[in-house]
Order: sequence, then structure tokens, then C-alpha cells
Amino acid sequence: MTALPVLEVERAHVRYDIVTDRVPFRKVNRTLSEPLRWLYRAVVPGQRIQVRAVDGVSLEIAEGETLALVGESGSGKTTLGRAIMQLERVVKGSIKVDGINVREVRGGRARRRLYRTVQMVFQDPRESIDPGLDVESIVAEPLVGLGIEHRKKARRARTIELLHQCGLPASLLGERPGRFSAGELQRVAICRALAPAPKLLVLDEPLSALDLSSQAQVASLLRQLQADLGLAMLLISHDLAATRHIAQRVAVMYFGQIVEVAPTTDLAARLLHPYARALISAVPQLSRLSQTDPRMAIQPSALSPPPGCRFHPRCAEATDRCRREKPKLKQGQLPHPVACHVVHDGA
Amino acid sequence: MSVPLLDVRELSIRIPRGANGYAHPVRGLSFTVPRGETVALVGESGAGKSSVCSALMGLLPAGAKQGGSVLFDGKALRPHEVRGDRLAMVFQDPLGSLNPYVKVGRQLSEVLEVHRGVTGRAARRAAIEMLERMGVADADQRFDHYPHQMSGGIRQRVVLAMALLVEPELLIADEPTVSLDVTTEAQILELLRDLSHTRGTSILYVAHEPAVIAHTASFLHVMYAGRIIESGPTERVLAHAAHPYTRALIAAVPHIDGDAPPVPIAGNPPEATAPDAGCAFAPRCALARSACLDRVPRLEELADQHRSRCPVVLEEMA
Ligand SMILES: Nc1ncnc2c1ncn2[C@@H]1O[C@H](COP(=O)(O)OP(=O)(O)OP(=O)(O)O)[C@@H](O)[C@H]1O
Ligand SMILES: Nc1ncnc2c1ncn2[C@@H]1O[C@H](COP(=O)(O)OP(=O)(O)O)[C@@H](O)[C@H]1O
Ligand SMILES: Nc1ncnc2c1ncn2[C@@H]1O[C@H](COP(=O)(O)OP(=O)(O)O)[C@@H](O)[C@H]1O
Ligand code: SF4
Ligand code: SF4
Ligand code: SF4
Ligand SMILES: [Mg+2]
Ligand SMILES: [Mg+2]
Ligand SMILES: [Mg+2]
Repeated sequence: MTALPVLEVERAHVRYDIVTDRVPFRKVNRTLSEPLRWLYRAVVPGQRIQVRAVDGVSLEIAEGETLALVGESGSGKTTLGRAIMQLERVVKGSIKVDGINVREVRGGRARRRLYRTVQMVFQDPRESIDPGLDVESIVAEPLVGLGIEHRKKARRARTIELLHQCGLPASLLGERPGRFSAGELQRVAICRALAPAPKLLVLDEPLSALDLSSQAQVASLLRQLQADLGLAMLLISHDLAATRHIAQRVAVMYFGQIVEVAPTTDLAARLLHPYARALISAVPQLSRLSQTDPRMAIQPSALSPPPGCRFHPRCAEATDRCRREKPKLKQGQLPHPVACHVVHDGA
Repeated sequence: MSVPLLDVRELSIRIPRGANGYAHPVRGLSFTVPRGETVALVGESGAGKSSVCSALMGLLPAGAKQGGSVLFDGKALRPHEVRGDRLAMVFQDPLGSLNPYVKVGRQLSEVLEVHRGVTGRAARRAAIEMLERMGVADADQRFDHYPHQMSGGIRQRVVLAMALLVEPELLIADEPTVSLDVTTEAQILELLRDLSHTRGTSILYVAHEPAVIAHTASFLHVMYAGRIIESGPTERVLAHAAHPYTRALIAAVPHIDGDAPPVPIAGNPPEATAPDAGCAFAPRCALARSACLDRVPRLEELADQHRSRCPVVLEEMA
């Protein structure tokens, strides 16, 4: 049986085009992420610049599967998630959600169809949820907005069912989320995303604004949803330890590219790419001291990717070849795909 | 035994909230930070950790009432006299401690001017040296940057550099790494360990999870609903936790090895406005019995320096 993948990303490229003279700096400062804010200051006005935020990414998610997308901040994870939602334009390559080519989605109807298939949950629920609305209006919003359920009674029944699925009591319906904990709010946000019964959920750092026990609550909810609904998920995170218990596979992203894709069982022993190894050894653990190579302190600039392997300035294993030649993501003799010359040579 | 650098006794904090209500985020907290040691304060969000830090820094909101006593180097602490000098703090959000309109170099040398009377070239040199010690590459170039020109990790290093320039005796670090990548977090933790070894700086490290401090703090206080519910040498508490909340917190840590997924703690901590009603953890505790609601359990010693506020576990272990 070969089920069609729910998400199929093929050599996708997303670039941020910036012309430096238009927007006043104050406004830029509020709306752009850091390196771009810097650009507006550092770069000659009128210059055109491109940040290759997603630079040739290919990945697939099967029905009911969860793939974790892991990497440091600035690596392009959010941009890829937004591109799947058609919130960023894919300039090269393709993204297909359940067969729908996102690049070709135009007009309200096609968009509504896309959003019935895929929904996104954002990092900070305090920013993505309007605290003035009651829980019922929040959760039922996509049912109205996507024209799924017009009848009020049926909508309420569906809303109660959704709350139940997310482990929230129906008594919350009339409450405003102002006093909810961040963990409860995040569950409400997940609940809302489930309203159109999507096949794919894109979750952007759903755990990182939460404290430990809320993290574990949301993680166990996500596992529950996989089991109950057969939902596929792209779980964006910078935390390998927290996500490996939710996802079946993990894709490690660095500088706009995927450098390794591996199953999550025995993850710590399995990952091979030097960057992935560095992420693993930095995770704070009760059982051992976290460690980093001093080279990891080097902060790469999004504006000038290093030649050859983009990780080479921070890599303890780097050779001359690494400084010249880009490694390709390939499996070769390895148990799973890795983009590293040295790992492939040692196999 | 020598006098601890910081000695907090029965600290309690009330903050007016609403018409005639108040929040009571800290309810009788006692702990010490010995000289040259790193002491951790760990607990869920809302436990009152930041309120403790604010009190120590003299930054509680207007109208707040503070009870108990705080001794710094054996004398009653007057925060405004030692703040930014013998006592410094690093906050969770590094942007909050930096002026967005002033180059970081200027902000750093200003600290030296105000507190040490060092100016001009000498201040610049000292500031750059400190940035380098904090692992900031190209420190002399960074000197002329504005805060927004730096990634979060570098900003947090700048804030640390600023706090440490005056060589404080006590550094209070309130969740300084929560917004950072694990790679940066590991570097900052290493920096703090190094600081305590080489300079003997005392550190109060606040975190919401025990893994972060497991190998950095020598002593651990677990805080719940405004009180310390368990404390002791870090290794001992983590290996032999004697309070159900500490055990739950440890079980909620995700591991990078092994199969066991993190276990959530059911329910929520009580609101800071809730009056005392026996053990604050009772509504979430699997071991709770009716006696737990009678009065707030006392912090009792079960081994050398190891104390817990749960009579049920204590009885079990006896
Ligand atoms: N004004 C500047 N001059 C030189 N380099 C800069 C400047 N501003 C940013 N950079 C560099 O650009 C790179 C990317 O910065 P960015 O702000 O994206 O980091 P980040 O990935 O968001 O990290 P963090 O999680 O720490 O915020 C870093 O190497 C940073 O030091
Ligand atoms: N709206 C934007 N305009 C221009 N550049 C952006 C924008 N959003 C993100 N970027 C840049 O694209 C890169 C990837 O960012 P992002 O996808 O947010 O990474 P991540 O989610 O992995 O932290 C970064 O260099 C970031 O600064
Ligand atoms: N200025 C304030 N006014 C009213 N309540 C406050 C104030 N600051 C903190 N609190 C309350 O005190 C409790 C503890 O807060 P805080 O000290 O920030 O905890 P933590 O740092 O452990 O997350 C919270 O319930 C919070 O709502
Ligand atoms: S990683 Fe192991 S424990 Fe976690 S969900 Fe998968 S099988 Fe279960
Ligand atoms: S290709 Fe070279 S520089 Fe890149 S990760 Fe592998 S060893 Fe390191
Ligand atoms: S005193 Fe009772 S409720 Fe509190 S932690 Fe111990 S067993 Fe649980
Ligand atoms: Mg992001
Ligand atoms: Mg706090
Ligand atoms: Mg963390």
C-alpha cells in the first residue's frame, strides 16, 4: 500500500526580497526579524537583497505521521511552515498538501480548500488568541470562516466535541481566556486548528512558550491526537528532547537546508551530522552536563552563507573539502539521509 | 561557619490587586546563598520566583508589602545601595535590560563610569575585555552596535557582561536562557560555572525546570505557590526527591535518551490570590489525604541539609 503523502515538499525555495530605502526604520524594527532589521541599518539604501530563508528543501510527511523540524533560531523553520500555509511565496520548487499544489492556490475558494486540509498553530498562544472572545467563538471561528458549518446548534455541538478531543471541559465554552495558563491557551489554539478537521497540522514551536508541566501536557495531547484522529503533523521546534517523544521522524535544518532526516527511536545514538550531534550534546539533561564546542559560539550571518558546507565555520570535523564543496543530502551507505562529506566518507 | 552572602528569612510579599484584593506570591521563604556558591530556585511559572528576585533588587511594584528580612553580607539589604554594584541581575528577556537607542558599548562603559569612576579609553578596554570573556566574537566591533543588531544569544551575553563588569558579589539570573537555543544555553551555563570558579561570584539561578541547573547549582530550592517545598544539595534532591511535586517536576523533564516520555503534572498551580488551605499541592497530588488539607506542612529535615514539606512521604521513608 502506498498512501499519498499528506505533505510533499520538493526543492522548495523561499526568499525574502528587501529593498532598503522604502520603509522607515522604526516600522521595520517592529515587523522584521533581527538580521533584517540590521540590514536596514547596515546596507546602502536602495540596494536589493535576498535572504534565502528556505533554500532547496525536500521532505515528505505520510498520512498520520509526525515529522519534527528541528534547528536553531533563524534556520528557516517558521518560513517553511508559513510557506506551506501560503503565507510566504515559494519561488522555486513545490509544496503539495494532500495533492494541492500550494503555489497554484489562487482565489478564496481554493484557499478555503487549502485551509480545510492544513492548519497552523503558532508559538505564543497569548499572541495568536484574542483574549476578548469567549472560547466558543475562538474554537468555532474556522467553522464560520471556512464556510463549514452555518447552523449555530451544529456548530456548538462540534465545538464541544473539539474541546473534548483536546481534554478541555465543555464548561469552558463561555469563558474568556484572559485568565488561562499558557498551557491551557495553547490547547485552545490547537483545538481551534482542529475545527476544520485538517489532515495536516503545522505547529510552530508549540511548546517553547510553556513551562515544563504544560509542555508535557501539550505533548501528550499531540500524541493523543495522532492516535485518535490519524492526524499528520509538522512539528517545528528547537528542542530535540521534547519533540522526539511526539514525532516519528526528525528533520534537522541548518541555514535554510535539511542536513539530516532520521527516525526518532534511539535518536541520540542515531544522529550522525556534526550539527545534529552538537544540538544533542547541548540539551540540558539531569543525567549529564550539557556540552558545546567553543566553535558553536560563532553566529553565522543569514546574509552571507559560508561557501561549501554552510556549517563548516562551526564544525570540529571540517576539512578543506568542506570549505569548497557543498555536501548533498543523500543516504548512500548510511541508514538514513545525511548531508556531510565526512560522515559519508566514514561509512 | 561563615556568614552567607545572602540570607533571606521568612520573606513574604503581598501585592494589591483589584479593588480590595491582593496577590500573595511569596509566603514565608527562607534560603541562603553562601559565598562563591551557585544556588538554584526552581518551580513552575507563577511559583513566585520572579517576585523574589524583584524584592531582592528592590523592584517590587508600588504598594507591594514585603515582610521578613533579607541580610546581605550580614547587614539588612538596601537594594538601591548595592544594586548594579555588589548586586546585579540578568533578566529573562535581554532586550528589556538594554536601551534600544544607545550603542551597547556606550551602555557598558556607562556602568563603569557610574559605579567605578572609570572613563574613556580605559572603560572601553575593560568593556571589550568583558565581552570577550563572555564569548562575544569581534567584541571591538560589537561595541558600536545597537541591541537590535545582535541575535538573542549575543544580547544575553552583552547583558551578562554588563552585570559582571562591576564584579558583583551576587548575580541574580532569572531564567536567563529560556528564550535561547540549546546551543547558546549550554554556552551561557558554562560561562556562569566558569565565573563562579574563577571569580568566586555567588549566583542565584532561577529556572522553571531542574535539568538546566542540575550541573550548575550546588544547592537547590524547589518552589511551589510561594513556598520552598523541598531543598538540599542539588545532586541529593534530584536523586532522592522527597516531595511529590519535586518528583513530578523531575518526571516532566524530557530525556534525549531512553524511551520514557515526559509525564505531565495534572491541573494547575493555585492562583497567587488563593488563601492558604493546607498543602498547596494537594489538588494535584496522588498521595494526598484529608490530613494534608488541615494545615500548611512544615519544612522538615530528613537528612543533612535535605528538607521537604511533605509529612506523607517523610512518614513513608521513616
Ligand atoms: N549588525 C550586525 N552586524 C553583524 N552581524 C549581525 C548584525 N546583526 C545580526 N548579525 C548576525 O546575523 C546572524 C543571524 O542573526 P539572527 O538575529 O538571525 O540570530 P538568531 O538565529 O535569531 O539567533 P537568536 O536565537 O540568538 O536570536 C548572526 O550571526 C548575527 O550575529
Ligand atoms: N518577514 C521576513 N522578512 C525578511 N526576512 C525574514 C522574514 N522572516 C524571517 N526572515 C529571515 O529568514 C530566515 C529564517 O527565519 P525563520 O524562518 O523565522 O527561522 P526559524 O523559524 O527557524 O527561527 C532568518 O534569517 C530570518 O531572519
Ligand atoms: N505586580 C504584580 N501584581 C499582582 N500580582 C503579581 C504581580 N507580580 C506577580 N504577581 C503574581 O504573583 C505570582 C507569582 O509571580 P512570579 O513571581 O512572576 O512567578 P514566577 O517568576 O515563578 O513565574 C503570579 O501568580 C503573579 O500573577
Ligand atoms: S518515543 Fe517511545 S515513549 Fe515516546 S511516544 Fe514514541 S514510543 Fe512512546
Ligand atoms: S561537510 Fe564537513 S563541515 Fe560540513 S558538517 Fe560535514 S564535516 Fe562538518
Ligand atoms: S502534604 Fe499531602 S498533598 Fe502535600 S505533597 Fe504531601 S502528600 Fe501531597
Ligand atoms: Mg521560528
Ligand atoms: Mg518569572
Ligand atoms: Mg529549554
